[in-house]
Amino acid sequence: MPLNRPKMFFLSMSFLLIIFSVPIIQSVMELARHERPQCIDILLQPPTAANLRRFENDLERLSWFSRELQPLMRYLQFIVLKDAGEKALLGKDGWFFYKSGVRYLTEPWPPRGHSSQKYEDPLPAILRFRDDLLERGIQLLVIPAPNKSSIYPEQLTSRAKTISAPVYTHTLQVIDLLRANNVDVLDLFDLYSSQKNDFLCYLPQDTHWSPEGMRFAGTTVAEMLVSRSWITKGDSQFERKIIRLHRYGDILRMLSNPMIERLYSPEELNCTQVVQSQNGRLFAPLPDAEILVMGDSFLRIYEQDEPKSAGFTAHLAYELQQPIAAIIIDGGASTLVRQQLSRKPDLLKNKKVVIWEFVERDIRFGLEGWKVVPLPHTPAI
Amino acid sequence: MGSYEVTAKLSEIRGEFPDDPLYDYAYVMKYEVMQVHRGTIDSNVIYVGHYKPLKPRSAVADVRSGEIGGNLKTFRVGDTHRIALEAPIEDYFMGGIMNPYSEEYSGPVYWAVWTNLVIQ
Repeated sequence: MPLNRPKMFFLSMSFLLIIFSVPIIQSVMELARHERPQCIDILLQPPTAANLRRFENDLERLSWFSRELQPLMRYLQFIVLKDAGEKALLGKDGWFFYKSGVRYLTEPWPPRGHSSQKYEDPLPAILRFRDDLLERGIQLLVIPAPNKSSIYPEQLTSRAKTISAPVYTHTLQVIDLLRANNVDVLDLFDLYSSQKNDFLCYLPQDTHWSPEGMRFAGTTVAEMLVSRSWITKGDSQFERKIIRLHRYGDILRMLSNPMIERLYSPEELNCTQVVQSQNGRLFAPLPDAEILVMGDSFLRIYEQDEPKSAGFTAHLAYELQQPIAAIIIDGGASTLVRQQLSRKPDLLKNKKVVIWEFVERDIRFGLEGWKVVPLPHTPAI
Repeated sequence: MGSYEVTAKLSEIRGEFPDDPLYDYAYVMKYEVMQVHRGTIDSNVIYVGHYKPLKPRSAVADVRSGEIGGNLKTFRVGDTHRIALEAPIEDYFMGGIMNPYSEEYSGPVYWAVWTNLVIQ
């Protein structure tokens, strides 16, 4: 049955009201707070890709409707569609995966066609850093930390069980390239893949290694340093004490949705805290130590986060029974840690070894890419 | 709070803020100084590092940033801010510093301790 004019007019007006009510109400609320309406921003800046993306993100982030309605919608989406949102993927048996890590595995590398990343090849940056250190008589050990999805792909999808080859082929290429250029690399992928059925190397709700996986890496690195005669074990200075704690993993927390969080129990972590034998004080990094450890949140977890002094740096200190210096920047292990070291070259004083950890996905997604950062010419030694 | 305090116009945000909840960083932005309230600042243009710029200033402080804050909700080019500052940024913030001006400017970068929106 054809619609008459009043009905058509009513329907059109209803649609327009639905479409425009959100920005109109948002603008009225902003004016009431004596703020400039956000929608005007589009007219105040050149329409570059970066400005338009920032404008769009701001609209979404600061919208009253989005803030009020999103938690419930996300919860329904999670329950009905098993969709964990923009940042996370829901795996099997309560496992969560960080989407960037999975993107790194599944998208082509090096990226085909246009890439927004200006400095995307890790090799020149790593080789220059290795050479700058060698000039000062310092050895470099590189540790790409595996994404959880590289070690436990079968927890993400059953189809992974049918794949016999490793899923982390991009990273294997980088490791092979580094080794071909005489860079010392610790391949945790092989080690974790052979051990993953003996103990959980990663936390189901988190992006990071488990306390057991982290201790395993610490022990392996210590053995490597000693076997290569880069470092000799020091006098007994540190001992360990067991600390158990419960907490939600970072992927679950990044959903920022208490309704989803309540569906799960916090993970139990069996940490071991490293303390000084003499006075029981917690391990703390020492700038003058012979070893400098630099990296990202894989070094931060358990060390700077709860329970503190129970992370990779502390355990390496325990295994080697000597102090360690550290530079830790979340997400900044590709370039920002080297920039930090370049700004504070005194940290190289007395060093014999630099251990450089970066999470595998930062080969592609690290903050600032892989800039070549020359160390200052005047040796600080 | 802060050795310096200025009223300044946010004149440029170069590039994009990385939107990754797992990454902690300060992002350097360019300001035109309109008035200096405390300390001595000789230049009309200053470069200021803001911690986690995608978060409202009232909710941004954590163990890595120390005590920072303010009432600013979002960074918009053209807005005027009243900012309490420290310098150089490396002495006050030990995390990653994303500075899109690093290849053209080698002077001091300020660390934003407190950032309020100036309503005009």
